[in-house]
Amino acid sequence: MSRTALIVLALAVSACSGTAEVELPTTPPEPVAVPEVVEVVGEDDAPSALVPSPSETQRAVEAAGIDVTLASLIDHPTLAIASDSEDQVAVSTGVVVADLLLTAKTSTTEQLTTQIDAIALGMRSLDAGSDIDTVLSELKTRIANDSMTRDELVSELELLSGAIIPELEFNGRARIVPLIQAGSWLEATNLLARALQDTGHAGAADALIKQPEVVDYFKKYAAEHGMDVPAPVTETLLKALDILGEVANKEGSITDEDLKNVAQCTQAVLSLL
Amino acid sequence: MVGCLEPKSWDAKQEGWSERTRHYATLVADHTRANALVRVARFRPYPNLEYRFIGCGDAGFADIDVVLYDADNTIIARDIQIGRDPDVLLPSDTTGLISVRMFAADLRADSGEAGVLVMAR
Repeated sequence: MSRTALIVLALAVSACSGTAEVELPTTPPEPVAVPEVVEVVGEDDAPSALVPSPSETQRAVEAAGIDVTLASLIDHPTLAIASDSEDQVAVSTGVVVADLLLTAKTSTTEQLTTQIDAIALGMRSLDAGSDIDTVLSELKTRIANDSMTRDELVSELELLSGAIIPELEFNGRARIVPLIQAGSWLEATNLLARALQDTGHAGAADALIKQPEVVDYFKKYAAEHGMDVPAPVTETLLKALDILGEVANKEGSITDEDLKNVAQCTQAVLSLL
Repeated sequence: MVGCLEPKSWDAKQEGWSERTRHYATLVADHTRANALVRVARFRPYPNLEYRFIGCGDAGFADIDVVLYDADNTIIARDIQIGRDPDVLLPSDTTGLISVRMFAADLRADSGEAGVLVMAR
């Protein structure tokens, strides 16, 4: 039932409408070569696709042969989603989404419930709509009833994070999705930098940390839209993005010192949430 | 509505793939006449992970392709089958920013709805 609800929501939030009813000829079509010189139509692709999900980052760490689970480095309780600032709520919700994704396989039912409740509170505060509330509520029920495996839970959370949340409209406020993603990405980047430091794998950092387009996406967002958060948060976040940008665009290899800077600057933001 | 994406996502998950993102595009006849491709996503893949791009289009398409480009705008992988169910793997040695584009190779209606799943494992 939950999967059905997810599917319904995924379909409902998609921008598409109406399948065309078209009679096709019975003769097979001739192949059409992709032109060598092409005109790319529109710049309105999905910048949100630039941002790796926390679970994708965890898989990349494992694929690089680094024996560490990012979840084991989460050293804070579930964030309280309580702020007068809508933007801060969005970033905090993103952090909890990341934590939930990373810990879903190992957390207790109680911990999962606490995290889902926090996300639901954030979504309600952000006017995400009743559908997402229903989805989260059903997830909670299935977890409580032990009627889904943890692998199934991770799969549904990935759908939530990668497909459903990015399509939510938040009452027309386009700023919310990038802020939720920023929270998830900051948390995952912090954990990743610490994991690479702790395990002495700075050599793997170039491939895992250097994501200059992601930094540019968030910097551009902050420059164009501003941040409706308390001044210390804005200041710390912009400073962190500068440091992350320097590291991401660094020509040489990332060093232990760079990793330390990444961990510190992201931690500085997270500690203000 | 590109409802054909959902069963494809489910099938791929049974093979160990995880859904990274999904994207939708509306392609119109002008796109084929102009030899134009619609860019649907860009991202930088992690090394050591596999990426797969599973698309589909509605009944307006006789042939729709997913084409992957590198940062220099060079094709690095593409769907070569005729049909409206493209399925493309990213070459394993790919690094840097890639663009995912859709090409309405044969569109029999005024417009068509299409979508792409970006899967990783």
